[in-house]
Amino acid sequence: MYPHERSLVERLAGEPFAIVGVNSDKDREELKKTISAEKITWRSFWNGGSTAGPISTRWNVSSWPTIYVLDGEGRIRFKNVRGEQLDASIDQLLAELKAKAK
Amino acid sequence: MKPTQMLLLLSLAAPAFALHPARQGSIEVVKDSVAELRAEFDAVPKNQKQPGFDQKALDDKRVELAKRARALMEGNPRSEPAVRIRVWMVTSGVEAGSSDSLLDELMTKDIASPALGDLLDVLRPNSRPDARARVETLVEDAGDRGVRGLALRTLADHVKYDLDGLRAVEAGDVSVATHAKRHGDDRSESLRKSGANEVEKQYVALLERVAKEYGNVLDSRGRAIGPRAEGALFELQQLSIGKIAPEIEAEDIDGTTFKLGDYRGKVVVIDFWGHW
Repeated sequence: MYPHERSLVERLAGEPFAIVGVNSDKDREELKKTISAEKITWRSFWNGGSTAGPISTRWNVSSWPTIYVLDGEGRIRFKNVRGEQLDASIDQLLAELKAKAK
Repeated sequence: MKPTQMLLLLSLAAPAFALHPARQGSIEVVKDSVAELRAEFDAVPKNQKQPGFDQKALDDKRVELAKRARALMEGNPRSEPAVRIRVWMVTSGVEAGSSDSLLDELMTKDIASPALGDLLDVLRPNSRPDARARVETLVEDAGDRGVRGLALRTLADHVKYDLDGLRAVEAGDVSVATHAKRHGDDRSESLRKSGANEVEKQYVALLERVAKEYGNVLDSRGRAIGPRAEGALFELQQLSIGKIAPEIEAEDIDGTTFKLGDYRGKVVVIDFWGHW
């Protein structure tokens, strides 16, 4: 997942776009090493050190990764899209945002 | 508990031990052997991708373990350790072809046992053709509250499976023919007649019952089923396509609090991830 996400961040630099992670690793210090080694530039919520943490439990996440794509109004528009579909869904929502701004 | 109740319980539980003191030892052996059988079977490579896989060694091990399991149950077939062995035989699939008769026995003679909870792991949607009927029987007839709770949760999963299938048909992603093939002609027709909204109501009602009546029951991984049922309700009611995403406010990796709402005005990908 990281290479794809890195390419999204690079391709969409300067666009109104962000990745927000919810991380369920056990060890914060180990995770910090991963984040620097994998060049993960986007911010993540800390899920309390467990896949059974408060955020993933509330959002009923039972498989990883789980993806939600929100539009500019914060509305859930796509779930669990991957690969090219993920790119296409983001591009569609960015185009909607631009059309509205005009 | 009053002393008289205590005595009554003791007298109910005691006969096997009190009348046959010599047997107590063999029951202990049976108890340890469930873990032993499981560990031995788990250690054998089961498919070609695993190092050291050997079909003949696997087949021989299956025969040997099934034989030992049956020998262990023989002396005291209605004891809890014996029930646990039967449940393990079904869930592990150690012995080919016997799961139907073992399940029949467990769901009649052993229906009161709390050990039946593990059976729900092999009665999930899209597993065995009789899975749903067996789950419904356990919801109604299991003597143990924990087993009834797990069965109700699994029944909700079956209804969710129906719901997802119906939504796919209604969205045009799955043809009626494929749906009929998957669910059987009659069932497919009655499901399509009910419609997704009706099935969703059934699903919600089941989840609400799980959360309300069986919230503290633990699943096979030791997690309470109530919070997960509430999570499924929350997902259905708050996290479907078109809803405004609920706020998340929590610490980041460095301990600084931030909010999902900070990103309003941007297209946002929320990624539930972990490095494992």
